Amino acid sequence: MTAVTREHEDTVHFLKNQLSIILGFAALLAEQVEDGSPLRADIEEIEKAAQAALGHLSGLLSPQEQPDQR
Amino acid sequence: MRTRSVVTTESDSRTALTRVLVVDDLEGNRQLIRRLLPASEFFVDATGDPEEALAIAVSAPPDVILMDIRMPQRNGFDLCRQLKGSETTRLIPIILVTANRQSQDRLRAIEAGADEFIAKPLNPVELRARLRALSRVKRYTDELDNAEQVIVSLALTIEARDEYTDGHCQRLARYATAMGEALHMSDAELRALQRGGYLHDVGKIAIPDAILTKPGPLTPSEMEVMKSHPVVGERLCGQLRTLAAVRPIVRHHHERRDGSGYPDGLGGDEIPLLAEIIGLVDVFDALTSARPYRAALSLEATAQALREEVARGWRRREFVELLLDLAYRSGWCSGADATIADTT
Repeated sequence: MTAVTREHEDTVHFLKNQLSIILGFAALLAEQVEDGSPLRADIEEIEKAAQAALGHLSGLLSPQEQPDQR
Repeated sequence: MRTRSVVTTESDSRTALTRVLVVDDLEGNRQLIRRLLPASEFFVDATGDPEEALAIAVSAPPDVILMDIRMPQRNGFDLCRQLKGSETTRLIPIILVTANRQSQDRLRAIEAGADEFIAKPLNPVELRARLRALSRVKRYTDELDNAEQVIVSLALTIEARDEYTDGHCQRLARYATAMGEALHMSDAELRALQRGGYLHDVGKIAIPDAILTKPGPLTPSEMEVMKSHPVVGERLCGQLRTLAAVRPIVRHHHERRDGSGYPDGLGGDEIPLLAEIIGLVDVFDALTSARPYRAALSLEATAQALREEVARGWRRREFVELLLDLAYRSGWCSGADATIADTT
């Protein structure tokens, strides 16, 4: 693995971790908000944006790092 | 770096909680997991330092370890392998957590001995469910482990009743596993030999002191009582699944290849191999240890006695020769300086 590839993967890993933390706390908030609360829609927007960013990051990975499609 | 979500000096109040050790280099992840696990159900200990995690796993074993795979100091696969390879920590369930979902990470997690694999982002409901399931398994294993410890303690207590058998169990476990290793036996067989060394005579709990420690030969009726110990011992181990491989050793370690042994009079290859090994090292240790009615035999005299048992058809020749070879090379003979005395 080249130094550039390693740095690239470290960056992707770091961003995925940060997005996972955002999604985790969003899920925690969602558990505490009642159905029908306007806050729920806001939380869902956070989740959607973070999931979209995660999906984009996965597309940046090398073939060996691609998610398992089975 | 290490933080706890519940601070209390009342250790009793934590016994009902599921104790989780979180190992993750990112404070954000540690914080998140603490928040995802309600304090009413979980006691969370968290560290970002893999070496500290090892120390905690030994000093205050958790019910479950939740560990990140990719950490700067040391990766989770290595740490998991080390924990699963150690006798003191191998039964602690480990969940490996990763931000990557690739199949090779899952395979490496299985190879490292992990019990579960979870991908980030963490689903709170799934995380709690998996922790609950694994902690139930851990507590069940702890109960079995405790029961086994009780049986082993019982066996050591029996040994302590007779001053002439001090250290006998430890020596048998050592001699038997050395023979098993020389015979290229599996890890499971070696574990059975180790346990068999400690437990083979556990049934002697039912033998009165007057017979067990009698300073002289037993009468025929006393011998009948003494001969009941393998059957009693097997019954004691019978309810423990972890001791399933040890039961045949306990029951059959007094059988002889010509069928003249007890309790079932098994002959030749009917005798379980592990029982035959324990039976042989049991006699070896008895001969090389002092008894109330005779001194310990030298290795030469012991070798002669064991070869006579081969000639009578009681023992397997290759096992006797292997044991003697190991004994000469390793210097096993507690009575090496003793004079040759009567072997009966």
